[in-house]
Amino acid sequence: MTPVQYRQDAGLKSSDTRASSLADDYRRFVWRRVLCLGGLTLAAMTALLVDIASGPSMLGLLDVFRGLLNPEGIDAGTRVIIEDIRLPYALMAVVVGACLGLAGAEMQTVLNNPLASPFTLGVGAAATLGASLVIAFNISVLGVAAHVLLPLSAFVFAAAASLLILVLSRTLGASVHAVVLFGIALLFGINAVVGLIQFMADAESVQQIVFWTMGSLARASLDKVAIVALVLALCLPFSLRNAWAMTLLRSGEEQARSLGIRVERMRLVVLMRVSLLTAAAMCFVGEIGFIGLVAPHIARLMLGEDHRFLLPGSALAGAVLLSLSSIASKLLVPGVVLPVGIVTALVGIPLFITLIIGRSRRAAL
Amino acid sequence: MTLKLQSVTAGYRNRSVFTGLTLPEIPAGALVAVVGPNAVGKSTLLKSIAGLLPIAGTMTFAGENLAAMTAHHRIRRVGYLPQPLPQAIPLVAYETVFSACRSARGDWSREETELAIEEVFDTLGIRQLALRRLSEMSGGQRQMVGLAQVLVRQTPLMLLDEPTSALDLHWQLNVLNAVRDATSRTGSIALVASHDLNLALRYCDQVLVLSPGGQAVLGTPAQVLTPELLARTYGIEARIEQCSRGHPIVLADRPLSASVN
Repeated sequence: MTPVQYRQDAGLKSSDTRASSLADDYRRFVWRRVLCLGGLTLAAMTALLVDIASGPSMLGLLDVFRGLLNPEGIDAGTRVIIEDIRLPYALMAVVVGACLGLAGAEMQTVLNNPLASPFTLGVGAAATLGASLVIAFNISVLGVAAHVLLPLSAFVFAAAASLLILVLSRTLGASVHAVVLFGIALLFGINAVVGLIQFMADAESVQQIVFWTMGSLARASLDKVAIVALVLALCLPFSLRNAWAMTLLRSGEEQARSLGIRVERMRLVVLMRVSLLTAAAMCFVGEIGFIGLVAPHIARLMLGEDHRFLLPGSALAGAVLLSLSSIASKLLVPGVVLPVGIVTALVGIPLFITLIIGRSRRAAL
Repeated sequence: MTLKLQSVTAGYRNRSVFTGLTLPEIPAGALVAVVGPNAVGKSTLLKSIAGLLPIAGTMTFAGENLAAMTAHHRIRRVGYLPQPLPQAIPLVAYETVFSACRSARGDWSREETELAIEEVFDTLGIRQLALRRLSEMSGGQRQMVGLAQVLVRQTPLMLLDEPTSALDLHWQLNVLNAVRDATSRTGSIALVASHDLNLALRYCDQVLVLSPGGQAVLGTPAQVLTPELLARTYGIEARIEQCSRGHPIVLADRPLSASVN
C-alpha cells in the first residue's frame, strides 16, 4: 500500500471549500509576514542611504541618490566622499550586520538557547586573539604584510575555535548545554590570553588591540565589502535550504529526529557556517558583539519562528541595527566618528525594548 | 499489515532497558496500550520502534524490517509523538503541523497537504488554535498540536508516548476517540504509552504490560489487567470492578510495599 493510497483509503471527508478556509487564513497570515519582511528590507535600504548621507559633512538624500545613480552629475568633492568614504563604510555596516544577524539566528536555533550568539562560544573572542597576536608581536608569515595578515589571522583563529568546539562536542558526545558551557569557558580562557598579550605588549599595540575590540567600520573598502558579501551570498542559500528542518528542530528535538532530521549533522554544519559568517564579518571590522544576540530576537518578535522568514529577517534586522549604529556613531559626538561596536548596544536596546512593549500591548488587546 | 518484535534489545549507551523482548504479532487496526511502572521501558520501546535508538533483534512492520528502513521511508510508515510537549515558541499551530507535513510527505501536493491539515484540525477539534502561537498556548493545547503533527501524516503505524498527559478529561476522550477512529477506519496500528489504566481498558484492543525485570505480557485488557498482574507489576493491591454501564474499571487500593519500583 503506497502512502498516497493509504491517505485516500483514510476516507477524507472534507470538501474543497472547507479545505481552503484554514489554508486561506494561513496564506493571509503569511502575506502579512512577507509585508513585514518587505518593511525590514525598506528599513535597511533607508538606513543605508541615511548612513551614506550622514557624517562630518552632511549630504542631502537627493545628492546621495544622484551620486549613486549618476556619479557624473554631482561635484567631484561629493563624489569622492560618497564613493571612496561613505559607500564602503555604509555597505560594510549592512553586510556585516546581515552576517552577524544570520549567524546569531542559526546558532540560537541549533543550540536551542536564546542567549547563544557567535560570541557565546568564544568564536568572536578567538578572532580577537588572532588579531591581537599579529598586532602585539608584529608577526609576519612568508612576508605577508601585517594589514593582510591581521584579518587572515582573525579568520583562522575564529574558525579554529569553532572546529575545537565541534571536535570536542562530537568526540565527547556532549549535549547542547555542554557545548554552550564549553563555549563560555573558551570565551573566558581566550579573554585571559588576550589580557596577557595586552599586559606584555607595548602601549601602541595595546591601543590598537583595544581599538580592534571596539569594532570599527573605518577600515572598510569596497574589496573587503565584496569578500564579506560573497561569504553571505554563499551561506544564505544553504541556511534557507534548512529552513523547514530548523523550524521543526525549534518545535521539538525528538519530533524533529523522528521526522528524519539528522540533528547532530545539522548542528555541525550550522556551527561551521556560523564560524565562517562570524569570521568573515569580524576580520575586517573587529568585535561587534551585540548584533548576533539581539537581531534574531527582533526578527522573532516581528516574524515568529518560521525559519523561512526568521533567517532572512534576522539578517535584515542585523543590517538595520548596524546601519543605525553606524549613523549614530557619526552623529552622537559632533565631528568625531565613534567606534561602531560601542554604539550598537546604545541603538539596539531602545529598539528592542520598543518592540517588546509593542508586542505586549498587542497581546493584551 | 502487522507489527512483530522478536528478541529485541534496546537501551541507552551502555545500559539496556529491556533485553530479548518478543511479542505476539500485533494485527492491523489494533490500538495497543503500553503500560507499566516508571522507568520500565515504555518510552524506550516506542523510541526504538521509531528508529531513534539502536536495537538488536528484529522488528518488522508490514513485512519490512523497521531497523533496515531508510529514514525517508520510515517517516512515511511510522509517526511518533514524543513525551516532551512542543516548545512554547512563537510558531503558529498551522505551520507547526505544516512543517511536519513538508518534511514527511514531500510526495503530497499542496492541495493534499492543506486538505490533510484541515482534516486533522477538525478531527482533534483545535481549529480555533490554527493561527495561535505555541508560546501563547497552554501545555494541553501544545500537546494537541504535537498530536496533530503525527496524525496529519496518516502513517500506518503510530507511536504515541503519553499523548494525554497534559490534557483534561474532555480532551483525553477526544484524543483517544480520534486515535481509535483512525485505527478502525484505516487499519493502522497505534501503540499508546500511558499510566491511565482505565483509559486503556476503555479504548484499547490490547494492553502490553511491561514489568520491572523485563517481562512483558500482551493480551486483551480483560486477560491482562488482573489484580495479580497489577500486584506483581506495580506493587499495588487493586480490584477490577464493573461500573454502572458495565465497563471494567481499575480501582487501586493501596501499595503493597514501599520498596517496589
